[in-house]
Amino acid sequence: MRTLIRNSILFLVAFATVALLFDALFTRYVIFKVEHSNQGKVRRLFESTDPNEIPVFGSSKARSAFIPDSLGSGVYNYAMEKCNFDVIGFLMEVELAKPRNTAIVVEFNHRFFVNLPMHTVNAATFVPNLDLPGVKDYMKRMGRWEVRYELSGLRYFGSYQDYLRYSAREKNSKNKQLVRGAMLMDLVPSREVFANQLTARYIDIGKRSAIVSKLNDLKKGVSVDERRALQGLDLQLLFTGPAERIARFEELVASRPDRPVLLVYTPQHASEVEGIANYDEITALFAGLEKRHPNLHIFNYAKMPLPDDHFKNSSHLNNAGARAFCTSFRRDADVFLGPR
Amino acid sequence: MLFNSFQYLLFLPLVLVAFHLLPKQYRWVMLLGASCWFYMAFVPVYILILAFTILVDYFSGLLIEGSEGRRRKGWLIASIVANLGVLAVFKYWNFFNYNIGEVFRDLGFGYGVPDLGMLLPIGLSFHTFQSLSYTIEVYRKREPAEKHLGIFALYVMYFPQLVAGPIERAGRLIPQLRNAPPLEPEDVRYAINKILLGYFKKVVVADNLAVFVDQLFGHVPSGTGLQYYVVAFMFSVQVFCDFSGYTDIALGSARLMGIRLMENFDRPVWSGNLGEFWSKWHISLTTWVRDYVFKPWAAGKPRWAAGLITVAVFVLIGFWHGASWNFLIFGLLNGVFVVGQYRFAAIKWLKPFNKSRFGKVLWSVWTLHLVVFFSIFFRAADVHDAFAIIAHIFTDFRVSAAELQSGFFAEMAMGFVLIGLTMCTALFNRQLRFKYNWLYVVGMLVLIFLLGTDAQNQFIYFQF
Repeated sequence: MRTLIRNSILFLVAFATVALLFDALFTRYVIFKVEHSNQGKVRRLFESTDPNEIPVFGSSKARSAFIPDSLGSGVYNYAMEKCNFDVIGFLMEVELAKPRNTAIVVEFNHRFFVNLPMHTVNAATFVPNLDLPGVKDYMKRMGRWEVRYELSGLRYFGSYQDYLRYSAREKNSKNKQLVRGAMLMDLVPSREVFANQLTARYIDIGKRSAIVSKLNDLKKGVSVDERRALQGLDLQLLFTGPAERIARFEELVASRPDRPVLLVYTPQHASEVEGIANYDEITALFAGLEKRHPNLHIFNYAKMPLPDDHFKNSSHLNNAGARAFCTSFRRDADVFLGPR
Repeated sequence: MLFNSFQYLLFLPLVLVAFHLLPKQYRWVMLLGASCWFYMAFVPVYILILAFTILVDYFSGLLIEGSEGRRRKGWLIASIVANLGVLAVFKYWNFFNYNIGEVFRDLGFGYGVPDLGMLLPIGLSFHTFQSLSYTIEVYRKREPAEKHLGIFALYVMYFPQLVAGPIERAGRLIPQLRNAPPLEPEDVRYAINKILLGYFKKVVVADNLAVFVDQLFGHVPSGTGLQYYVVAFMFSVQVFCDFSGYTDIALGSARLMGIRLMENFDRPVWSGNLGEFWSKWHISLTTWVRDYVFKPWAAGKPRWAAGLITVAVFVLIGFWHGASWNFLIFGLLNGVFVVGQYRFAAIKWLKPFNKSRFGKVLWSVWTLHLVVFFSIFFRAADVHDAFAIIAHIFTDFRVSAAELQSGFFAEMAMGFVLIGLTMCTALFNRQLRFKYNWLYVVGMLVLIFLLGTDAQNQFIYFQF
């Protein structure tokens, strides 16, 4: 047994040494090799001193919608998957602390204010950037902090796949172009696949309205499973704007009256807007925000009519859709976007 | 506390050090404290339910042992009612309440009994069944009543198998808790290999497959029939790796204390019929049901009645999994096909075919498909979704260009690579000589580190 314990300790020491070495090499040669990766974008935002840069913050919808080349020479697309105000709030803090006074573009969608850091704050994005000021505190604030993130060799566990996927994916290909943070896809789904996606969405819309009508009808009962399903459906199909989060957003906007903030609701597939049961609340919010903040400008393209072949899937624009949107947006926001 | 959390990686070594440093007579105190800590990491107040079960069954055991005749039976019934009562309230109340309410409303009557607004206590069905098996065994005079309340509490609460089994029997576990055998190097090797295999199955295979599965099962029917067919397979593998991964970690953790828990799986994937599958899958539950429900119920009954009882038992197994129509149908389908396959295999002129190599392969493929199709009821959000998916598989089974472009097949290939890796690692583990075990350990650590997710998804079977 003694030999076993001794050998085990030796093994652990050797393994830890290899893990530390691997960690250092991986950080240097893989994690920050790709500029368009999420972690690369965060670092870039901190380090960028270009006085003409116009950052675009948003989710994957924004990543495939804002084409920097079509919008302006200073535009850089910082959008990341699953990103909403949980992350954008922090990125805005960083951006607003900079001396430049260019516009800030913020993509809006009906899930913008949902508070779901376990889903939206990806550790893989922030752990390699812990040396940057405020990142650790931010992760703690969002409840995404773990002690192991400070331990080399252990800190990237669970994120290696993300990094490797980025290394493999972040390359231009026949139907994919990467342009200053944006990822543009030429993909057009087949009619049947698109129809399936829409059917699934309409079924969800139908399910939600059926449960809501049961809830409103005192003569009908609603099971616990239905209530649980409703929570999930509300998350997808309802705009939620908690007062404290809207107030925080306004606080950020008001902190730099010299910097125009362009809040842009990108084009959505008609089925997506149709599904938002309280779309009126979004327009009311927009009206209120625009009234209270002279430096906040709303651009609502949610209902912009685009054919199905302008979508990569039922939620994201493809290259054709992005070009159509950017043409309109450039025209409408010309004054804020600088030279092309 | 989840096995796949960083906390557990600190918790287990601390418990092990304390366990091996303490004199044998005090170990149970430390283990009981650790088990309470482990369970209270979920929802602390639910420990009161466990305490209730422990006290009821501890005193029931003593009272059953000390009495005879009708009184003895009475104490057993009291224990069963108390245990099943806890299950009925916390697990099945809302289901029955809603369905009874629907009947009342359909008949035009008012119904205002409220639902229970509580989360299901984690692992309730597991520890209830484990505790119940003890009183039944005492009643049958196969086990003596445990006099030591602490040891009995530890039997119900022993943390490696507290929330998702294996459902142990008192005769196996209590003597080991009282006096664990000394740890041998072979135990350490077995334990480390098991724990690593368990983590590999959970954080590499199950949690990675969950991403594809959740995507399609979450929005029905957003994919083609082919996609759903593949994803149904993926889900079967996911649930196997999730549950058997948990069990492997449980077995390994316990073995590091010298305690041998029962194996819960015996390579169920390749089974010749559904009955065989169930004899290899979640063995501790199926043997529990066999010993305490099926045998007493079916003893002496004619063949047709035994068939009906088998179906009923499978419906119960389905309902054990969850209080919903999905699980009832899942159980019913399994029961009907177990009996049907058994009857079919008994047809005289088919016997030579059944025994041939081709026949065996065909039956195994058929069984695998049954398992996969029934698993759709296990995973789907409701019965409507489950039937919609099955209909979709049969009516929209095709490859589309968009799938090829979107990388669906690359993801699918990745899924199959993971499944292949699982099989290889399991085989490699069996073949390995002791002195080369470090190769296996290094390989598994590298795979877990590089391919693992830190989603910290709860184990699927925790909800039961």
